[in-house]
Amino acid sequence: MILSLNHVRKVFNPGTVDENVLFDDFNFSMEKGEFISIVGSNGSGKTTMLNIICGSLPIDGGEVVIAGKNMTGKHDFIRYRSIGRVYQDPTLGTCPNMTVLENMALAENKGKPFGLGFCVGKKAEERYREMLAPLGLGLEDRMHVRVGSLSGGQRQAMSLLMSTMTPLDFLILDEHTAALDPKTAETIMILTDRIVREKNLTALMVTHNLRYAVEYGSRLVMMHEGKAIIDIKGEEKKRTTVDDLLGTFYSISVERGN
Amino acid sequence: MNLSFLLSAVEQAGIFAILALGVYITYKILDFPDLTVDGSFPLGGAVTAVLLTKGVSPLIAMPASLLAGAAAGFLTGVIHVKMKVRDLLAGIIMMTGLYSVNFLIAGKANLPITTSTGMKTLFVNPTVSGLFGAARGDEAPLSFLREYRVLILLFLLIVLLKILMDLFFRTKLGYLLRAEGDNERLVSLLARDGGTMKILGLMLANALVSFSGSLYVQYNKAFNLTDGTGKMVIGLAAVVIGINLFGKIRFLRPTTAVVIGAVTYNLCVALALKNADANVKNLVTAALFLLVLAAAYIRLPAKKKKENGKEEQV
Repeated sequence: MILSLNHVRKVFNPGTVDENVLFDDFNFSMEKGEFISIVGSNGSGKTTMLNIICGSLPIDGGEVVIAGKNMTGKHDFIRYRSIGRVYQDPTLGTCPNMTVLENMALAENKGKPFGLGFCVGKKAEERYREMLAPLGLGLEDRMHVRVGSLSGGQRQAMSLLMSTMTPLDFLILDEHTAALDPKTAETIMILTDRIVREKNLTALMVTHNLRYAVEYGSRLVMMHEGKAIIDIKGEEKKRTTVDDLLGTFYSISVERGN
Repeated sequence: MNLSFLLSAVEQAGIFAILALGVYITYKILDFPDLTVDGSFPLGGAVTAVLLTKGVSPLIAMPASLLAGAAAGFLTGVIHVKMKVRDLLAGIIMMTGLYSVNFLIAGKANLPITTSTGMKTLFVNPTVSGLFGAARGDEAPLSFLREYRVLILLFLLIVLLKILMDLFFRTKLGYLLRAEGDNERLVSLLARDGGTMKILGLMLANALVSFSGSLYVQYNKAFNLTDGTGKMVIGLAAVVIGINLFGKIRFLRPTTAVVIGAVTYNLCVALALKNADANVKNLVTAALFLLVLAAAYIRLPAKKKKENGKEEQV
C-alpha cells in the first residue's frame, strides 16, 4: 500500500450552526502502480481528500499513511518529499518571474540540499531541452523566456514535467485540466497519460471530466458526501461508460433534491 | 554648484545604495514590505558607534553591525512566520522596539566618534592615511586621489557586495529564495519550508541595511537616534527607480540597476534640498518618491496595468 487513509474524520466549522461532518470513518487506499481517477459533484470531498493526503488540511481523527510511514500531522512540505502535485491553476506549479531554464533547475534539485552550489550546471540546458522537446510545445526553444509569459497550456505542461522530474511515491493531479480550453485540456491529458506510463508512476487524479475518468487510469472512484460510492477497477472499469456514470450522478442529484 | 557639494552627495548616495540592495531583497525578491529598515539602519549605526568609541577596529565593528542587522531580520521573520503576525505589522513592531534598543545600545541619543582623539573609522585610519596621505599635500602613493578616498572605498564595497549578491542569486539557495517571493506554493512542492526562506531573506536584507547604517555613522562621525527616520522610503525609492527605469536596460543586472537608482534618487534629493533646512528633508524625500511611483505607473504598458484582470500596482 503506497497510501492509506484510515478512519479519517474531517469536520468543517465545528461547534457552529454550519458544522459539516464531511468525512466520518473514511477509509481509502492506493496500491503502487495504480492510476486512480476520482469523480464526484461539488462538495463531495474530492479536493478535501487530496488536501488531507498532502497535509494542506488538518484532520480531526484517523491517520494518513504514506509508503508505510504515518504522516498524520506532518507539514505539507515534508510530505511533498515523495509526492508530486499539479494544481488546477496553471500559475501555481511554476515561478512566473523565473525563466523556463531556472524553473527546470529548481525542479531537478528537489530532494537534494539547496546549498551554495550554482543551480544551473554546465550541461543542464542541453539536458532540459531534451526533456522539454517531447512535450511538442516548442518550450525547448524558449529556455530563457519568463514562464509568466507562456500560455496556460505551456505552463501546465511544465508543471506536470517539473512535478515528475524526481522520484515519487505518487503524483496528485488536482483537476489539472479544468482551467484549460478543451483542445489544450486534451493535449495535457494525453501528455499526463504518457508521462504516467513512461515513468511508471502511481497517480491520483481528480477530474470533472467523466470521459477522462472512463478512458484513462486503472481504477475509478466516485465520491458522494464523503463516501466512495463507486470504486471499480480492471474489467469492470473497462465496461463502464460515461452514460453509466451520468446515470449514477443523476440519481444522486435527485436524492439530494437538486 | 561646486564640486565638493556634488562629491558629498554622491558619497551619501553610495552609502544608501547598500541600504537599497537590502531593501531590494525584501521588497522585490521576497515581495515582503519590511518596515524593520527604519530600526535596523540605526541599529548598525549604534553598534558601530559604541564599538568605535571603545577603540575597537572598524574591521570588527562593521561585521558586528552585519550580525546585529541579521539578528533583527531574524526576529522580524520569526514574528511573521512562527507567530503568524502580518508582514507589515511584524516590521512595525520591530521598528518601534528597535528605537529603544538602539538607545540602550548607544547609551544616549547622540554618540560622536571623535577621530581627532584617535578613534578609527573605515574612512579615517592609518591604512587610508598611508595610501592617500594624512593631510592635503602629504606624500603618499595615491595622494592625487586623496579627495576621492571615501568615494573609492565606498565604490569598492558596493562592487564587492553587488558581485556577492549576484553570485548568491545564482546558487540553489538563491534560486529557492527567489522562488519563495515568486510562488510560495512551489517552494512547498519542492519539499522546502517557505517560512525558513522568508526568515533567511529578512536576515540578509537587514544585515545589508544595518551595514549601510554602520557606514553612515562612520561617514558622519556621529550616531543619532533618529538616523533611521525615512530610510525605508529612501530604500524603496531607489529600488523602484532602479528596477523601473534602469531595469529595462538588458545588460544591466537588477542589482546594478538598484545601485544606479539609489545614486539617481539621492542626487535628486540632495539637489532639491541644497539650500533648504535639513528638517524639510522628509517631505522632499516622500514627495519625490510619490513622483517616482506615479511616473513608474504611467510608464507601464496598458497590458501590464491589468495583467490577470488585476490592477497592477508599482
